[in-house]
Amino acid sequence: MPPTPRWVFAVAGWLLFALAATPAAAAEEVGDWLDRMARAIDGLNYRGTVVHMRDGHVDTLRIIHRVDERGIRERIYSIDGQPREVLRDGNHVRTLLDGDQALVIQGGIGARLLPNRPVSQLSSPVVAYRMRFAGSDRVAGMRARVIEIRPRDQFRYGHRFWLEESTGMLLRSALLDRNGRALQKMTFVDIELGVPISDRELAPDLAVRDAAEAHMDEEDISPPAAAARLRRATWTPARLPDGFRLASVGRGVNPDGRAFEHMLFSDGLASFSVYVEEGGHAGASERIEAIGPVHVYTGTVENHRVTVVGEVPSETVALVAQELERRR
Amino acid sequence: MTESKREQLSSLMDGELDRGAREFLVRRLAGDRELKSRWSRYHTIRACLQRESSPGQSLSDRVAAALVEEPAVEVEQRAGVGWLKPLGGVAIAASVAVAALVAINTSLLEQGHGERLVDEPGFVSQPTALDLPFTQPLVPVSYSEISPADRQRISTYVLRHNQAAGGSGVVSYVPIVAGARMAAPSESNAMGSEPGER
Repeated sequence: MPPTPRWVFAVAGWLLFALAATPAAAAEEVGDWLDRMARAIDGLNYRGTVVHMRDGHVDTLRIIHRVDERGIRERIYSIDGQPREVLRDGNHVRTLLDGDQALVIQGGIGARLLPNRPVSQLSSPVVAYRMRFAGSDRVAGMRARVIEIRPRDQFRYGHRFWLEESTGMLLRSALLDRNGRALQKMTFVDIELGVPISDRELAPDLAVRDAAEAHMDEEDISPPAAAARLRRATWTPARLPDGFRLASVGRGVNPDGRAFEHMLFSDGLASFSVYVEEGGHAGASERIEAIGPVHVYTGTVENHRVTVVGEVPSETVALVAQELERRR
Repeated sequence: MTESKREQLSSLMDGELDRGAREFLVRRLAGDRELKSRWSRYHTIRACLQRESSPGQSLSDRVAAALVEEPAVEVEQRAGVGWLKPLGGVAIAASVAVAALVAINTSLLEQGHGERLVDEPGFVSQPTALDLPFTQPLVPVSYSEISPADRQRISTYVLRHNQAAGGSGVVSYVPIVAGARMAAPSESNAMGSEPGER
């Protein structure tokens, strides 16, 4: 057999290089778009109508979002079903419910345990997902770029995002199962971007009277203190699906009056929380509840009641609970 | 229009009604104008989501038109709704479940602070024998079958999770608490092993 000419190796080398480089570059560019999306969602003024669909159940919401030097103000209210309204003013959030089950929930968004960082600064979504551009489309009268994000394993869902071409604003999204079927969808059916928003538009419509009030207040901790806390978590899963990392640790008291430790894990897109209650607990039966794509595992680990909650497949909450152990 | 009628309409759309109820509702639809207009709105919205576009009018026009017809939200003012006593700290209604978590999780993971976590949990890269019990499909139990105390606990935890994870804007901060539509009832005994026993 004659010796292979050198140029064959050179061409093969280039081909290999091109093949290897292209997906990485694409992922990076998709990351930039996700970054733009996160900035647009927070940093633009807009008002629009969103339709949300899950399990064949349709919810229609109005969203009004304003950002100025005093921060973000947002009002989201339902226009079908039970009257519901969420009002956000900076770090403070009020959820109003009317109807047979009137309720007001007050909470601080300061409780947000994850810092507000552009997605592109994260390496982990690239580890756990394949991301690509999936063409262009038109949503709510605007040109949109479609981004498809598929998980590399069975421990998380996929996403499809429709982002407005000039701003990166999210216009439509779908949460996908392993087979690419949509578990839930939301879409703007009309949206005005970059419009002035008056105070009046941000005022609540609902006057909920005689309603129960609940509070979800949480201590506000500085990022360095939060980082120190990560190392003090009492419990940890021995193993986790690729890409998930401990993002924050907190404490609280549940409605039964039991103190619990709260650990939040994230892979940059998906997240789940692990709650371990303090004090012995009679062995509760082990089970998983589904609230749409959200799964909730309840069980007992070393005599402590454990609850794992997240918008992840049931396999994930079950695996994490099974792997949970006291930190040594 | 009552909540139960809306619920029935929704079930009809999903093909969840039995034959008797279906026929009854269809007869009503023929006679009830309000019900009929809602029925057509639901279809417009669904068509929009499923992108069954029809020529002529644009989708957003059609849905916008459907939404304009939506009657204003009625605010009932009732006296003394003593269905939930606020508990200290976090108290979420037992019968209220977090359903419409309209969250897009642009959840952002904190990275760095200049140092790696010492005890970072290990990562699973390949399925191992340990994963086997979970390759069987787990059958989620019905949310409505669990006790009120459990529901309250779960609601609290779900809300808290959302608050912690769903960081930035839009819909992201929307733990809109609503009447729950949960998975179909079925007991779960599919779990593999007890996590505590190792």
